[in-house]
Amino acid sequence: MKAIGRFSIASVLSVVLGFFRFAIAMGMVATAIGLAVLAFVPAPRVTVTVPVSFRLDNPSPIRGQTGFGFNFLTETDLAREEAKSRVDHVGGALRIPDASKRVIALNALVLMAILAFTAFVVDQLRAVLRTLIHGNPFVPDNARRIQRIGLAVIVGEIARAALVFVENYYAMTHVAIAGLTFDDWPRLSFTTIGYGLIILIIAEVFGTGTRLDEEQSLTI
Amino acid sequence: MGIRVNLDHLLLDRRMTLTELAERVDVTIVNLSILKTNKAKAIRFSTLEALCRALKCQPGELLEYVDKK
Repeated sequence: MKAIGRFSIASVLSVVLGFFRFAIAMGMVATAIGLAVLAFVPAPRVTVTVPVSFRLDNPSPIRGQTGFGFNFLTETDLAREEAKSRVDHVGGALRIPDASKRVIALNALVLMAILAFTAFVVDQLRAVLRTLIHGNPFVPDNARRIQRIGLAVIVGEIARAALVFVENYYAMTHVAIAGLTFDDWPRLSFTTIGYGLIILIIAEVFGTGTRLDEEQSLTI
Repeated sequence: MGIRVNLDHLLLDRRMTLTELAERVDVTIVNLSILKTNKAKAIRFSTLEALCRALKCQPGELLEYVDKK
């Protein structure tokens, strides 16, 4: 399957992203309506789920499966395996049953922001794919779009870490669970930030390529 | 642009149309239009040579430096 032009991978991806973009728009509308309704009704009995990260006070060993019953481990093997693999830092979701109106509204606003941010990234991607479908991807706008996607990946990761940190702070001050401590610092994924930086470099290379292409096409 | 292409003046002097010139120098009208409207980023020596031959002029007559200040 070809990558550029009609009926290409780009066109298939564009259709998929089109549906995804529609779902995001619907999600935003539904959240906005929910927020508006929330202002006039008493707090509904809903469970709010928020992302949190925590560490175990007493890291427990993972008891592994022996795998299809063929790989029988001796007690010594098990002890060694246990010493190697221990649950330490964990990410999860905290469910808040019967959350207050303020918590629901705040989380709805966060959801709106996430959806708007995702819509922005999807729009940039769709615009790039459109130029691919039309067979002319070397346009200066594409370099800017790819740059925006790279920046969005970095900003998104920082925002995600900050969000989890805020939710952790909320959990720390409202919930006490024996045996685990919520992380009291933002846990950034440097791998994701690295991906963002790679995209930014690709955008620079693309921008240079676009300038050369433009110069070449305007050389008579 | 600092360099101006005086193609329109030369064509007027030589009483030649862009179509005629395009046929003589084997460059498309679209590309000559880009050159005439000063939208070109660069000009190949071979194109310059062909234009000078067809218009019976020197490169200095075709190209002119214009101070943008």
